[in-house]
Formats: sequence, C-alpha cells, structure tokens
Amino acid sequence: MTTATVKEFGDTYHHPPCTAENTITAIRTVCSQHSPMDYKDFLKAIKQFQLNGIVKLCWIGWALLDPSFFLNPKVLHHFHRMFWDHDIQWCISATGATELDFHFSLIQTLIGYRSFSKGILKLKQVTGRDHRVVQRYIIAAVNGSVPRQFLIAICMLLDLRYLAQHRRSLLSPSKGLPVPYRSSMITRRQLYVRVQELTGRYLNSSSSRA
Amino acid sequence: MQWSADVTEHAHVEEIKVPARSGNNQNYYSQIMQHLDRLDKCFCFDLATYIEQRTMDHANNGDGDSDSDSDEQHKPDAETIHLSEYSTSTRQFPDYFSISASLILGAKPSAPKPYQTFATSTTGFHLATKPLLWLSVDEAAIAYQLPNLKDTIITFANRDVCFQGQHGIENLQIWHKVHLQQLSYHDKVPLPPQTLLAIPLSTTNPYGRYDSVIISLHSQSDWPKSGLTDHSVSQLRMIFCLPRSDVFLAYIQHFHISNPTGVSPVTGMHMLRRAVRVNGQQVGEVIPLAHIHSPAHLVPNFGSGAHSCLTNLSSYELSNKFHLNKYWSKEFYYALCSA
Repeated sequence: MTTATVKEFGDTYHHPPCTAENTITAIRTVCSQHSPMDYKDFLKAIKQFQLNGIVKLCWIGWALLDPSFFLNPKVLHHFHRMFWDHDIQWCISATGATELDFHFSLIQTLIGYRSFSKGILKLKQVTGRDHRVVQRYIIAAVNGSVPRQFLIAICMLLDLRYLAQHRRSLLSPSKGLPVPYRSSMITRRQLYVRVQELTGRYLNSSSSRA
Repeated sequence: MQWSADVTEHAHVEEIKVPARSGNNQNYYSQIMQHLDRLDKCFCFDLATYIEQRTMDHANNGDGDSDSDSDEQHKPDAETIHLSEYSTSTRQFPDYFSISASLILGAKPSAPKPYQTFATSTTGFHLATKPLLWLSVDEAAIAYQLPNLKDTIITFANRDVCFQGQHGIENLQIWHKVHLQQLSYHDKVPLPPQTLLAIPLSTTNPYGRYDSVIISLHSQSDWPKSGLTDHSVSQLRMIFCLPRSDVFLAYIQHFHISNPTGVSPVTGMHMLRRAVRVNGQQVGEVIPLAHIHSPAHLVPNFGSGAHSCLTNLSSYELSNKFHLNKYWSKEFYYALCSA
C-alpha cells in the first residue's frame, strides 16, 4: 500500500509505502500539537496527515506487524469483482464491445466449462462464478487486438490473482514466481497500484487521442 | 396446541420447500413429486434392509436376550435412518485410480478385458464399456478424414513390442469420449474427471469436435512437475482399440511450438501452429492412450481481429495458429508456471 490518494493515481511519482510506523508517527505528531478532545482543530489537523481520527489503534504494540500485511485482499471482491468492474471495462474499451463478444463466442470450451456463445456484455445476473470464468479466457480473447503494454498490465494482474491462490508461491518469492516479479520484492498492494497507474495512463492517453 | 399451525407449517418446509430448492427451478410440481417419491423409495429400502439386518442379527444371537431385541424390532429406530443421507451437498465422482488398482488386483474377475478403467501415475482413464462404433480401417479413415490412418497404425504396431506378430487390423473399435482424471497440484487428491471428445464431422456439426491434450514423448512422465518439458501439445482425433489387443490407442495430430523460446514474451502463453508436411497433410501419430497426461485448452490466435466468417463450430478447424491457454484452470496454470 502506498500513500497515494485517489487524485494522485496516474502520476509518474512512485509514492512511498504506507507503513505502520508512518501512521503511528503521524498520530503522535498530531496528538502532540492538538488534543483529540479539541474536536474542531483536531479534525482540521488530521486532514493533512490523511488520518481518520482514531488515535488508539488496536494493533499498536504488536511486534513486527503492519496492517498492509495482515489486511489481505479477499478473493471474491478484490480479485473477481475487481476484475469484472475494472479489467473487463478496460478490455471492452480497448478491444471494442462487438469484437470482444465475437472473440468470446468463437472460443470452444471443454465439457463442463461454461462457454459464452453470445459474448459477455449482455450477461444477466452475473455472479462471482462468472467473473472467475471470464478470467480463464480474457487474455486469449484480447490478445492481438490491444497494445503490448496494455496486455502486459492485464496479464500481470491476472498472474497476481492466480498466484495469490497458489498455496506457497507468495511465501517464497524466489521460487515459483514468473520472471517479472522475481527481481523485486513487492507487496500485492503495490503491484495493484502500479498496474492501475499503467492502465490508467494508457486509457487516459487513448481517450484524449480519440 | 390445538390451534397451532406450527406442525403444518413445518410440514410445508419439509415436503415442499426443501424439495423445491433441490430442483433446478423448473417444473416445480413434477420435480417435487419426483423428489418425494424417490425419498420414499429410499426410505422403504433402508427400512427393509434394516429389518432384514435385525432379523439376521437376531437369528445369529440366538434366543438369549430376546426381550430387548424383539421390543426394538417392532419400532425400527428412526434416528438411525436419516434423510440427510440422501442429499449430499457436493457432487460425488468416482476415483479411477482406486478403481483401476482394485481391477488389477482382481477384485472383479468378470470385468471385460482390456479394463475400461485404468491409470498411470499421473492420470486416470475411463471409457464406456461398449465402443460406439465398429469400423474397418478404411471406413474410419474416411469418416475421420485421416487418409494415412492405416500407415500410422502399422508404423505404431511395428514399433511396439506388444503388437509385433499381429496381422490383419481390419476392424477398429472406436469411442467418441474418454474421461480423464487428474490429481490436484497441491495435495495429489483426485479431481473431478474431465470428458474429452473426438467426434468426427456429421450433419449436425460439419466440423467435428476434437479436444486438445498434453502428451508425454516417453512412456514415463513427471507431469505436472516439469511443465511442458518432454511433453507436447496435440489434438485428439480418434480414440480406438485394435481387436484382440489390451491397449487403448489414440490418433493425435501434433502442434509445433512456433516461437523459438516457446513462450510469448507478453502473455507467457505458448504459441502453437499445426504441424503440416510438405504435401499439406497434417502430421499424425498413433500413441497409447496412457501417454496422455492432461487436457489442454487452446484458443485460436485471432490476430488483430477475428475473421468475420468464423463461427463457434468452425473456429478451431479453420485456424492454424493457437495459444495454449494457461489461464484455463488454476491447476493447469500452476503446472505450466512451476517449470
């Protein structure tokens, strides 16, 4: 997790990680300047530090611990749902809605696997299961019709989702991880933000061109 | 208590709501009736076997403690026969590995040979007991559009020790389906079987349906540990067995991995091309079915835009370039990425 805020997504600056130490220092600084009892001034002061007003954290004093490590993404919402809400939208705008649907309709699936003979855009009652199934075929469907950098970003995100469900891979980053991740130890959150920056920049530039 | 509706309300849950939920939300009335009918039959069967069991136990025990036994016989213990036995939450599937092991040990002497269920160290196989078709080699070559079928079978028979000395391969027993079972990547427990198809073209499907598989080049394989090393991707064209032989065979057509490094640098997927001879014929081979290790999922390489003439049926037969879709399943992804 970095200290970047929503408005700063897409800029070129690589924001520093948001660690437990930073948060605790920020809380101490604010508390030394303004008393939490002094409600009006305190609220103004914490805004600059991006705090939410809680001064007694439950995890203070837990050794070697950081919220960005123990508050992990959930598979259903942070993988499948996020893929559907964001990645698919990027793919649709990059490939074109009819073309993407046509590609999906051409893919033959093995027995027992869901096929999308009418495409994916007009699906009704889409559930987490469908979100997951679309992930199986999305790379193959957009491959070739999107720019290289865009494809890298989508692949990276998808690799991340698959590897995060692997039982051992993220515990031992030197083994079992694909080449792009081996060089630098990065947390999942950082990777997310990084990829969002990449795709966000691509979409901005493409929409401004159009 | 007299005016309470609890009893009937609860009956409504048991007799209507539960059966309705266990159907597929179509034709409620008939499905509920069928459900209740079957539950009743299962209950009667259990009751009958229970009573039978008790009388047998009773006869064996003699008349010693007849008091307690005869008391219980009149009211079969309803607690031991639970309806929950009849509904399991997940689908049950057979374990081909244990079935094949027990067949080899001779658990069923009457089972037809060759055994329809067999297993290698990595993969379990199951075929229907009766072949779908009996065709001569020439008929099969026409139906499956494999002009070199006879030659490849002879080449295989000459190479394989078991087949040497066998002459006259007139008739083939042919199957359209094979069920493949794999072990899970992490804890090596059997996964639900996967059906693979090799169906020739017909009036309903003018292009046929041929699934793809991962085969090993040698009889021994350590799939999924080493990924695609020493393995190749092929298309299953025909599943058959020669008469008087105990090995199931498959006619496969090879794919070449087209990129020199094998893997697309962007997507990390293998790029495949149909292996074709100079005369335009596809390179085919006959292998034992047991050399197949995993189903594979291919996706045609659409390039910058798919050809508008393609349809769902024709897209695979009319394409020459494919991607090996590593995202097809998590197990498959781990197998390809771990190498």
